[in-house]
Amino acid sequence: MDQRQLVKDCIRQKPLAQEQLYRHYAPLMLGVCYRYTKSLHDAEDVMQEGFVKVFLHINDYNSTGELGAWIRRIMVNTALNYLKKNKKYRAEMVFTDTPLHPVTDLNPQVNLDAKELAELIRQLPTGFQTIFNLYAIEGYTHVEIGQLLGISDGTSKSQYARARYLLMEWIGKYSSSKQQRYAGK
Amino acid sequence: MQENEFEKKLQQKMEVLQLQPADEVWQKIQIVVAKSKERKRRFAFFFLLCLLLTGGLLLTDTSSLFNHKTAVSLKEQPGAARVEQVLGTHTKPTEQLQPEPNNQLSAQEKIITDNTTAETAVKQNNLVNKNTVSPVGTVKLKAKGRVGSNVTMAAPDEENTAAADIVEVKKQGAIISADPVIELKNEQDNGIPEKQATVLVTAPGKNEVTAPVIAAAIAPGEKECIEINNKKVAVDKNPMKTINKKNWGLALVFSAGGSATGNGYANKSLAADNYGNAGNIPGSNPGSSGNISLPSSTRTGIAFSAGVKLFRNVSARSKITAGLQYQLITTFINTGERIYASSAQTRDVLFSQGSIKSYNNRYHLISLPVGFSTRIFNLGKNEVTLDAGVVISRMFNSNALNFNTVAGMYYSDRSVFNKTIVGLSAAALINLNPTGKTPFCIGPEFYYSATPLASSGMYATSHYRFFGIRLQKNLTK
Repeated sequence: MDQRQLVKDCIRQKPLAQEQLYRHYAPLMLGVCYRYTKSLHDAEDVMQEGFVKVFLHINDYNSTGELGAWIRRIMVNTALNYLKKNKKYRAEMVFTDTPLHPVTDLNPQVNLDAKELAELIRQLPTGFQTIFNLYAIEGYTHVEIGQLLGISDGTSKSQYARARYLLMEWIGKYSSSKQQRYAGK
Repeated sequence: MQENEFEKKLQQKMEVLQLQPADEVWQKIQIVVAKSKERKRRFAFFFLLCLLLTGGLLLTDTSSLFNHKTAVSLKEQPGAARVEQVLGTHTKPTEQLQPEPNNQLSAQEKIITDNTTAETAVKQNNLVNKNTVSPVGTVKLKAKGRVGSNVTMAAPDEENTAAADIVEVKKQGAIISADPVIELKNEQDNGIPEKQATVLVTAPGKNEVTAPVIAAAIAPGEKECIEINNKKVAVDKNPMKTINKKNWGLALVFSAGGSATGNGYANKSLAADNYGNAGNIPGSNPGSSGNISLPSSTRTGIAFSAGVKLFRNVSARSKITAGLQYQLITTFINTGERIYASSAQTRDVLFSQGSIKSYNNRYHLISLPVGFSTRIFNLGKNEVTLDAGVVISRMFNSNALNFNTVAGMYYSDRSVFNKTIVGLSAAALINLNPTGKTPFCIGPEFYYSATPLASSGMYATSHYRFFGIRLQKNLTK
């Protein structure tokens, strides 16, 4: 179906159009939500909340932009709100500014698949995980991240550097153990 | 550079990350969205209702403000309506409107200088409610009653609005004041609508007395000026006449009864003509010439409507009317079991053909009835009026099932229904208790929609029909 027509039908709250929109974008958006949470169940909760927002505010969507990107933004914001609201995550969302950023010479080959990479990102502490997702994958600037999370851009930078350092180490280790496993076979 | 490459690689990998959500997620989303829609609809309905009620109240309130030329007289019941002045702890009844036989004018002033306390004064006045006495310097008296003689009180510069004209009668440092016009009471035995004014007597910084009196609206007649406490008071000497300058009136309308929409496809020839337009559901082939299934016949359901109506006198017998009301029309059909389907290609609700279940089709409409009301005859003391007109309605929600004759299945699709409906309504109403405090009308009502329920499909030749009892409560006379 034509995207414009689909949006129009969703604005008219036609169940068929809403279901079509959901079926089309849900797998991708669950992937987004999955990166921000620690369990699939939480990711589904975030996505559910996000899609409810999408259907209730779809008349705010500016049809000149890409619908997928608009929905993705809603999902990211919903995920951030979820992390702030949820006790389990809120305790880990403590951002401390460290003046010394860890630097690594590691330049691992990112030869892991998407699911494996996502799993490694989800192993990061929630604060690191959030900032890493926002900067490295969503493409937000540190100033924007600072505004979103209520921290300074310096804190965002230092948190990102630590997250990146950890992740690169893990990717390196994971890749070498994977290679060893293949070699052993 | 190295940093950017790492991020780029990650972005590329993550963009393809897709996970299949559980089926329950979509079901939960549907429920939440539906609830939210329902909440919005309820809020809109509640808002509209509040708006209508506020409008109605304003209309009733402001209607009295338009009657500037209506003089207000004070009628006294025997021994009633006195205004007292309280100075410090000493109460001095300063002004008393006394009853006079044969409705003749009497407005006397009495200055009593005995040193009684406020409480004593309150006790002395047998119309005063003791509970209203406040122990700390303020005394509120509620001397409520009707002043017997026809006395119109007016300020020297204004002839009318007498209830307000009691304001600012000054005597010995006390101020007697009154709210302009508080409330229009129901018509009394003599046919005069009464108004109640609250007279407030204060001694600045010390005590105050509130003494409500009853004033009745009469036609301005010949007046005579007298002075009370250096205040000019116009006195009406003529017999009272009622004038009613209220052009618009307001009524609450409630109807309840049975409703029907006709059988639609239960007529086989009609089904043969229309099955191709019955809508598509999975597995059906609307264009094919296979066997045609027929749905169950539609049975009568209950219906009601509630709203407000404005009316305006155009002659002694007739009124024009306009209103706004909510209508619920329901019917019943027999269906088989419900079929649950989560495919994007299906309609949201499906039922198989059969007669296991009785499904309640509901149609929600917001209507704008416009018409006239005319008195046709009197039944004893009660008037019988004919109320008829055109009703323009908007169907804003329905759960009614349509029928696909080829697949032999029921499905819900609100989009097939006509949203704007024009209909005719008629009611014969008997006005019960016409002179009492709560006049209301009751009688049979009939409504028929000239516009069919849908432009195609099962309901293409079906029309809303309603037959019931209407109860109409006039808020203004």
